[in-house]
Amino acid sequence: VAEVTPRCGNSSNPVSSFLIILSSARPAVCITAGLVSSRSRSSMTRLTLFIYAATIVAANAWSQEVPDNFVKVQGGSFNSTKSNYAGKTISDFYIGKYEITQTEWTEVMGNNPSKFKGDSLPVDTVSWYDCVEYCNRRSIKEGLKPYYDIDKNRNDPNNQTAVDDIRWTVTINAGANGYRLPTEAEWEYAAFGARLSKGYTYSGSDDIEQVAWYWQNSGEERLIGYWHWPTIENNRNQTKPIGRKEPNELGLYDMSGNVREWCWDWYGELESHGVAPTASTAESGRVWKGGGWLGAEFCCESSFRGSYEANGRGPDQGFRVCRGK
Amino acid sequence: MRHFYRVKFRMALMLASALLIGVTQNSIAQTITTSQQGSHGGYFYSFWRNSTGSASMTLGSGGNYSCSWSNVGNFTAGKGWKPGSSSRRVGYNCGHWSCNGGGVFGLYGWTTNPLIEYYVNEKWGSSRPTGQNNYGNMTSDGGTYTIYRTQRVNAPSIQGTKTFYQYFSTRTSQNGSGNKVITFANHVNAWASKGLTLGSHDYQILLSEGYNSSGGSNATVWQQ
Repeated sequence: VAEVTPRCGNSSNPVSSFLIILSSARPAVCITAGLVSSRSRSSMTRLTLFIYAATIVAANAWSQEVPDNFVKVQGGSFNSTKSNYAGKTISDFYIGKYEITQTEWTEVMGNNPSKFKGDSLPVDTVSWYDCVEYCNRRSIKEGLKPYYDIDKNRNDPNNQTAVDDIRWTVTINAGANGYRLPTEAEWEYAAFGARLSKGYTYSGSDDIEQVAWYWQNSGEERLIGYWHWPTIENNRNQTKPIGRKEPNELGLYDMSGNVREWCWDWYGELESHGVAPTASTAESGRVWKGGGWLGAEFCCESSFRGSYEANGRGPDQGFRVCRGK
Repeated sequence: MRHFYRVKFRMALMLASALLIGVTQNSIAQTITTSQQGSHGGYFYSFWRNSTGSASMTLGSGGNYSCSWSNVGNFTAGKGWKPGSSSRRVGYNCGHWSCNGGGVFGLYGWTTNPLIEYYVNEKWGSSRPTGQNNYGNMTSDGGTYTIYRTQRVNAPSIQGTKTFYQYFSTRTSQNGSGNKVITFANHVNAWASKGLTLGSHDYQILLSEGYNSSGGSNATVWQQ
């Protein structure tokens, strides 16, 4: 993953040049681009320079190098009325184009827990705890600051989930640039296409066949009729290689279907002001979004909220990651 | 001209016959041996069997169905409705039930949000079905039922892998023959009084299930 932090002092970087101007005790210094050559500038020239520089900053904010296989999601308002967060606003973030593959998992964790094996298949059968560990280990491996503090010796008092026998206390390092799970709001904002949203029901289309692997199309034969596990099992349904369906408005693949994706949040009740719930209830766990190869169509809708105990591991449960700047 | 009308009459006759076949085809008895779901005779039906032993389901007219199974590992079969309903009064007549080994006969269905599987067990095979947790007894339709709850951990579901609950109302003694009624609302209310709530209904069927057993059943379901 490429470094994304602006390198101050790099004369080829217009942002750095602009920062030099702003931070200089003497504002009328010679600028590398040769645009300013004298201290005796007229106020009009200074205004022109300011506008020019501000324009460069604004443009550069988006031309900033985005990590490989990530998309920078420009923040804003949830403009899809189908979203649980309609009318709320959200900040910029980076999110992975694809679900984490088994290759990516194995490189970091040294094992492959997936039921269905294949390098380009999404990793499956990973718990929420497994995933936050992955995030931190990958951050360390790549020289980033880990986003999570994981205390394995202290039970999380907010975790009331009856069947969760792990209950690590996991807190965040706000501002750390390491890998992390998306919040539910971030996931949903990205799934709906952010500012480019066309208001689709599934991520990238109203036609589930175009964008998602789900119970009807993820096996040897196309299934019809009603969802029925024994039929699905006999049809050898399973995960599919990442990125084989159409992407959504942002270029994100498999947001609907393939594997369900863990989010940071407790399931709880969605708070009216859009802030993530801070504790579990006795029979819920962490949020997953997007549905998977095993579930029904409604699970693949971008607005659907699923819950699973944080220690749960299923052959349809995976994740994708976000990153700070 | 007369020939023209004769041709028209024959065509009309053929069309009427085709339509009649189309209308009645769905209510003609048919036997199935592979797992499937669909509609037949105006009712939703579901049949599933695993690969051990043999089992078949014959779809009769209206709400009637019959099953036979031999040394089966597990099978389920039944007719009913999709979606189910908490207020439905389910009438049934079980003309035949024999089960040499494990099996149950009764009302089965499931809901989403929360994901719940439920059973109202009217008859069974060699042993009375129970559950992990006992929530006491209730009465309905002239019988006494015990309420149980069992947790299924990391099991496949319509939402994907899920930990979810099964609710059971099991009669303290098997129900008899003749026309019977399951006033499902009584069970729903009794479960709710114990904190066992249902979600949005998916399908709801009169179920015949066998596991590690041989047997047969013939039953008809209707809405009271």
